[in-house]
Amino acid sequence: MLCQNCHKNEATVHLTQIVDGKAEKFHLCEECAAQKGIDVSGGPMDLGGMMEKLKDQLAHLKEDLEKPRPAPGPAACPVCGMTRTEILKKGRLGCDRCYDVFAAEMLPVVVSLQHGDQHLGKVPKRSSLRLKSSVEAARLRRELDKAVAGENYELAAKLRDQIKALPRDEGGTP
Amino acid sequence: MNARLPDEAAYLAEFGIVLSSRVRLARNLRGLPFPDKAPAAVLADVRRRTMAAARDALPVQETLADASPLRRQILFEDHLISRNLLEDRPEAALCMNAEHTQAVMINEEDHLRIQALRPGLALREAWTDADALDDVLERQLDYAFSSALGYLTSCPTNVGTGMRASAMMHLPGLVLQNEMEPIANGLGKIGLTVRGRWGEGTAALGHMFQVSNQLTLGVAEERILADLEEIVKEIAGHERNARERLKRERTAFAEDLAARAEGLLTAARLMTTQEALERLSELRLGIALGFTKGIALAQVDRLLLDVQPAHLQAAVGRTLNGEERDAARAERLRNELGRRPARRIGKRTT
Repeated sequence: MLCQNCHKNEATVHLTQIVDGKAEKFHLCEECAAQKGIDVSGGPMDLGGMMEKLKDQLAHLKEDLEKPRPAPGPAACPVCGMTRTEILKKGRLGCDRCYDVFAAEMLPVVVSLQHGDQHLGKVPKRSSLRLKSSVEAARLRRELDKAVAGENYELAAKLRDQIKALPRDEGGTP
Repeated sequence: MNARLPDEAAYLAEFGIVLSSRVRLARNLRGLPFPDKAPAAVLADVRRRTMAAARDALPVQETLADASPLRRQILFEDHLISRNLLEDRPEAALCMNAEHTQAVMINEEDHLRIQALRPGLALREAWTDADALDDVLERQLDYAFSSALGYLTSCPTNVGTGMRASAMMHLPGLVLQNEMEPIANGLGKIGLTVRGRWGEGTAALGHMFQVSNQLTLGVAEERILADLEEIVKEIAGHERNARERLKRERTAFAEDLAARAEGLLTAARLMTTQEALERLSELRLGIALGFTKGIALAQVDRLLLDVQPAHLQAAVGRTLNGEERDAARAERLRNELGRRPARRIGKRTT
């Protein structure tokens, strides 16, 4: 699972906060957790003080996580009529359009349940060249990050060329 | 008798712990509401189009509204339809190949649930089958797909690859040695799930478990399969160790368990599904440990399916009430396991 804050590093700090009786989970990498002032060193504990501090930090963290989210969309999906309340209740979406309509509230939930926020698997054979390229580019960029982190610059250069060589515009089958 | 031995050893090595591998893919048609939100006319259209697209690859096709409750129950016990499809769901259907190893469920939670089954540990092969079937269907069906979120599904836990890969494992050693719980907890931390085949949690009925991937977005199919395969092999290794320790350190207990199971299976006059699955599991362990002679593992595996309520009634040819079923089940077990004159010669003194 990737850090919910930077979306780059593996999340190794997992926190649960109870808000209005509901548990909310946060997954962060150590760097982001440290930036937010969360102590992950596991030193001697002062439980009372720590809880206060933690509450405070989590309140800020929650604000931070909520900040970049776009404004909520319409109350119901124009294709299937699914409402936000219904989605929250059932944990299901009504149609493919719901993923766009409720992107603001759904995406953070989807990402928190999953390994990342970018599909890296199979792409329908009949989809457009642009679509195929964008998934392929995401996959190559991930490998590139790894190559750079591992100081394998030869491979990194190769990957960069491959990304550049990917078709950018619609050119294939519709 | 001797001619059977290499076969039995090979069967045990191949299917003793991992019975089967399965891959299922969730797919939906672009621009149409998912089954829960779609009007019947839309679902009828989805069903017709999918059945047509699947006609050559999956020629055995049935609409579930036309299937009797017993027929549906058989399909459920065969793992071809989900529990959801036991109930009336509008325009639900099933397409299968002749061998019933590849199938697509239509109008379940998603428009399409493609699945492929392989015996033993063969996750990649099951994926290759499901992938090819997906390609065939996709030639005529336009899937809901986004470049960021991949295949769009009714439940966000399936989005991305839409793939759930699983291995069915028989893990009596780990359960009896009390080692299953830490393993199940550990799997959760690395994005895998373990569920009982016929029951929930670590107290799974018949020590039969399904290990599967939980994450579907942000990781490619090949990677999910490779990780799952590695873990399944690791669990199988733990199971082998647990069985060895069970045999070495708790010999009398393990031998008694297998002998009692055999005694009940060959003598009982009434037997519930639950008891049958539990005793068959213990018998399966007895065979693997070398305590139970003259019964082939493949026979037990066949019985694991045949003792289930719908299969039993289909074999008898009529619907049975609870006690009739228990009697028919006990009879089926006695007939299969009780009379083994040819195999007993020279093998037993008792």
